[in-house]
Amino acid sequence: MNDEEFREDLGKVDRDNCADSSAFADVQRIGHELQDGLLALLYETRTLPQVVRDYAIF
Amino acid sequence: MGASGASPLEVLAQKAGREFPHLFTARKRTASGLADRSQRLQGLSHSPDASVVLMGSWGRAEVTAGSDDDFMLLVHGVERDAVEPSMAAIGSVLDSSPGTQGIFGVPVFSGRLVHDIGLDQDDNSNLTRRMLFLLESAPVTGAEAYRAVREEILDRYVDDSVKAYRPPRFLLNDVVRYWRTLCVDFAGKEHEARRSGDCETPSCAPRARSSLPVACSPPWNAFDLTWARFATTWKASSIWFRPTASRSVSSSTMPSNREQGRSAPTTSSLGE
Repeated sequence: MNDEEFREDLGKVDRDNCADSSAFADVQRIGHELQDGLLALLYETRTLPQVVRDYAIF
Repeated sequence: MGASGASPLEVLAQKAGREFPHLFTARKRTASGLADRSQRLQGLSHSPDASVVLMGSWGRAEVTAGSDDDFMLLVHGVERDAVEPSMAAIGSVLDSSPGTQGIFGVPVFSGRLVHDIGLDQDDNSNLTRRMLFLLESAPVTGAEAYRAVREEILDRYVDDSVKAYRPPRFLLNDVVRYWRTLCVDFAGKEHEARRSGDCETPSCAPRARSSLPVACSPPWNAFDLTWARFATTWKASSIWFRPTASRSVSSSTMPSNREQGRSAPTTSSLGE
């Protein structure tokens, strides 16, 4: 996000033109990767799922 | 800092074998920026219980060239009219207005942050102020007042927990409530904008415009908040902003990650 041109491109995105925006596609991809990584970290490692159950879901 | 003196980011970079150049640059920019602003604010007279606090990317140590000087004037003392420095004086030194969407336009007194948790008195502004203060803020002046208020708030959360064992569910529930509030309020703002005719989402009549209305813009414009960006990027972008023929897509009609051919990292890929 430390890229002014990239931020300007994102600022121009709305629902109508998001499909044509490479900047939006990049951010969306990063978002999906982050989500997948978090889910794997929280639920698919050996020890963390128990911690998640005890401390994050209550 | 860890036992070795390395920051968590440095430890992560070492273990992951990644350099994270942008994050490290942001850390340096944050540290130098805080020192610069602290020096500039020292010239202003301060009430002994006042602290000038920078919010958002400053608190996250993620300052970039596009970051604003969103600030809060925090007061660890009784509510009163006269507090130094004035909001205007701070704004002139920082060349910025108090940030996020006007909720920091007045001095913030610790009593409300500490004691008005829950019930009617804990309105949207108070919740937002308290959570941003806890989650993403950094003191520029008055570090003692800043630290004292943080400790009082955390004491309140921990001391009022019903059960002796942890985790501190009172605190966790409030953090979760805040994140949910962000998402609900975003939808509320879109709705209000549509009603007032300022919205250009597909369900609204097209209007000529010179700039994107804040309430209808993508979340990174609507909220200068990390978790708003995070939540809306990986949730809303999949649902609200995914281009479709009808533009009216329910979550139940969206393909899952697996259906989209994306596979989640496995245990082995995480190095366990």
